[in-house]
Amino acid sequence: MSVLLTITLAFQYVVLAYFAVLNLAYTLFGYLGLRSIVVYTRELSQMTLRDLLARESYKPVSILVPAYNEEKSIVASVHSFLGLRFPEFEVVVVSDGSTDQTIPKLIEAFALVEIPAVYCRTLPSAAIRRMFRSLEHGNLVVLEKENGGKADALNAAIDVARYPLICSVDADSLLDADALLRATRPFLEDDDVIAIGGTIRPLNGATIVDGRVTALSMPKGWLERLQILEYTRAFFSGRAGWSHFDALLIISGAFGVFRRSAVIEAGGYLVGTVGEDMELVVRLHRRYRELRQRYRILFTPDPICWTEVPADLGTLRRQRNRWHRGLWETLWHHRSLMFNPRFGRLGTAAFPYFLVFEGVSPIVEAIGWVLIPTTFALGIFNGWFAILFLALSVLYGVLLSQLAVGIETLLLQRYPRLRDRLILFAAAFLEFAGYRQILVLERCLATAQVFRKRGVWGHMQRQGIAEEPRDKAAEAAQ
Amino acid sequence: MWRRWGDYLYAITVLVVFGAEALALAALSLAFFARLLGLLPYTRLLAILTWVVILTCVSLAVVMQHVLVYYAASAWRERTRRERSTEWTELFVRWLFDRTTPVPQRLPREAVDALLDLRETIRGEDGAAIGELIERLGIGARLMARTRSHNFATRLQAVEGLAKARLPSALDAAFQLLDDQSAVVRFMATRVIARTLASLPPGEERERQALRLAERLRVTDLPTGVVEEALLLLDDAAEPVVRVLLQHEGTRPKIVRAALDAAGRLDLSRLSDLVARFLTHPDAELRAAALQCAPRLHLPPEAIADTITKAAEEPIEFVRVQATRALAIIPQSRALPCLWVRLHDASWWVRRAAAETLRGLGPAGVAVLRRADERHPDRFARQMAHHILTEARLAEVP
Repeated sequence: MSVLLTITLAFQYVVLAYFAVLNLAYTLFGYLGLRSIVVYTRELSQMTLRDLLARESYKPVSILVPAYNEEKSIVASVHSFLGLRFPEFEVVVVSDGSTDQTIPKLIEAFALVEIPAVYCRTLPSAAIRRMFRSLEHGNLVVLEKENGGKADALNAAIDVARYPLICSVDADSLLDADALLRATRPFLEDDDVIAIGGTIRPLNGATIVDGRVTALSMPKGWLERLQILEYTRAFFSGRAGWSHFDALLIISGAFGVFRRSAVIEAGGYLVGTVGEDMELVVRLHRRYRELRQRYRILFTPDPICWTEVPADLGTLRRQRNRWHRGLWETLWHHRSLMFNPRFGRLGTAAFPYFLVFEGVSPIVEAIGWVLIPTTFALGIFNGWFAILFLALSVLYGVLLSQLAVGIETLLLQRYPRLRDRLILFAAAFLEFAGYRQILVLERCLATAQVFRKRGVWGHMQRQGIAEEPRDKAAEAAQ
Repeated sequence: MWRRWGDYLYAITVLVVFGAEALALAALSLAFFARLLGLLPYTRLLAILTWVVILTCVSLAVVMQHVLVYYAASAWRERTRRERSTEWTELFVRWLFDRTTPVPQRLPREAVDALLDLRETIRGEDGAAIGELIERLGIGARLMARTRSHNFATRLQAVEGLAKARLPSALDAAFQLLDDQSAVVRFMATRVIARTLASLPPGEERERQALRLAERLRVTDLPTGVVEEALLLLDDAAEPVVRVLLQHEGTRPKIVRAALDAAGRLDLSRLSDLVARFLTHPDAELRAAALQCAPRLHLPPEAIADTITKAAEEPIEFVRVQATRALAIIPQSRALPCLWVRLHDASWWVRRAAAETLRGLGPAGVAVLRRADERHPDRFARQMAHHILTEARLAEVP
């Protein structure tokens, strides 16, 4: 009994120390993220973007849009991409064996006609059935291919892409009008940049006119509100912080810009994984470090992509399960990097961090929750201590969330109403009342399923992008 | 887009709050460790934990309050600034019309911003008049003084102001900033110089300053994209700069590449002889860059025909691609057979370049493309010709 007691006590302290180190890391990233935003806002002015447009000193971009059963949102998304403020770009939509009306809707909306599928096949992908061009938009190409997964669809799109930069986006996302201008700017200013990740913000609750987010308001559901808080925290502190250390491991699949040549040389997206976005970034890091070539993979806080976040718990759980399996798959696939000083900060800091504080964290957190009844059963439950420690972890979590919310307030396009601010504040507390625990359990489950469900995506329930008519939107704005 | 106001204060608040929190968490971790080793009594650990909880409560209150106050203050400030800025813009526009409307000697910040924005928008004589007004009001001198600030953000904002103002008197300060420690400031300073030179009237002074810039760019460590952007921003003033970059043996290859590209984009035909020298340069990238800009510079077709047809057969793919596109400028009697051959090149990109070039050559080129579609011996050439012809038909659909 006393051995069990000692083990329980020792484990308690391990959990506490884990909590302290994790929060210190979050704090550091939060501060570095804020600092990089302060510098960034002054580096990239409107004047710079105007010069870029006026003098045409840009690099053309191919926007790659993999789509699987996206009939609800594909037309609005493609409209949004075609309306971007950028001098030279093309949109390559790949319907990855969709079984719904994705292709017919695209044909109807953009006057597509079939053309011979002639392209430079450099990356392997499932067979392309048909290739279309638009009669209305010379820069729109649509592929219809056999189902092969998102990575496979992206590889097919890379083969068809003509331009030196590629931008992968999700089919249920919208981009800010200037997003490409901002995202491609670092490629001009630094010859070593090979990839740029942008900020993703939830679309739910926003007013959309002509494929652009024109006004923000909080969605009605708390599930979506909680995700708004999560995205704010993840992008404005976490990624900005890692980018500061030149050890950014994730560029979200919803919006990332890459040098096409770098992606092709690295072998394209890895098929058969659900974490293809993270895996590609890690592989790029790895390849360039192995070849001892100078390179940079950066996060910039400004090019903003709006994406629909799950509105129901089932879809959210499947999404988080997939994300966590994707993390494990990448960590496993590149396990030789772990604690390997040959890969610099990547091997000695970023990879161990992702293993200890991202991969293992749900397990530690779950054990923390399990410890409460266990210590109670063993008769060593200390009510005061438990309450104080719980209060500390909740308060610290809320504090970190508020730090990110504060950064969001600096954005010109922020949640404008005071009520929204208060909702975000309340959400930071409510996160601990069930939401966080459900996701912890889902991530634990994902850890257990990582080998059994390798490459399995799971069904995602979409609401679709609802556009406001112009007059109604103007009325709402007034 | 981000607000440029209040972010520093927020960063300081965060630094203070989270600095205190970090210390508290570190102390707590040590206390846990000491307790585990039996060096700390339980009551002391509980007391430390209680203090850390209280500190976190206070920190949360501070951050929350800051966010709410900032939210309200920034909304109010933006509204009032917008109104004031409009008023100032109206006053400056009135001054532009009559030149007698009194303008205060000491302008508030929003007035300075409005004036700089006006300078950015209005070109020609009126633009120059605003430039003089900026100079007369001492705004330029103040901006130059602020470029020496220790505060990075202030320095950057001042450099941006100078880029908008385009003041000849600021050129010396801008040249000094090319040695700044921060790469971003160096980029911005290059832009200030380029924009200012572009606004100067042609003459000795512009030539002198342009050569000064060229000398700096020749050995600069600025990225190719930034150099190219600066060259494009120079506009009419670019020619002497590009000439020096192409003429001088010691110019870094990546800068030469940017200069060749700028020569093409700015149609600097007077530099065609210099560009032609690079068509046979030993560096493949420079050869490709020269081939890329050749079609825009009206190089004498007969004189360069041999060089281009030879380049179209080079083993390096990207040189072949550019050479194939450049075939468009040599006499069709030589270009068409060469493009027919390139249609069955081993590289997909060369085949596409050949087909697109044929499409752009008018009826004769399209006829060759049609023939290739029907009876080119190579399957891939037939496919490419068919593909480009289909695209051409689609482009013609009204």
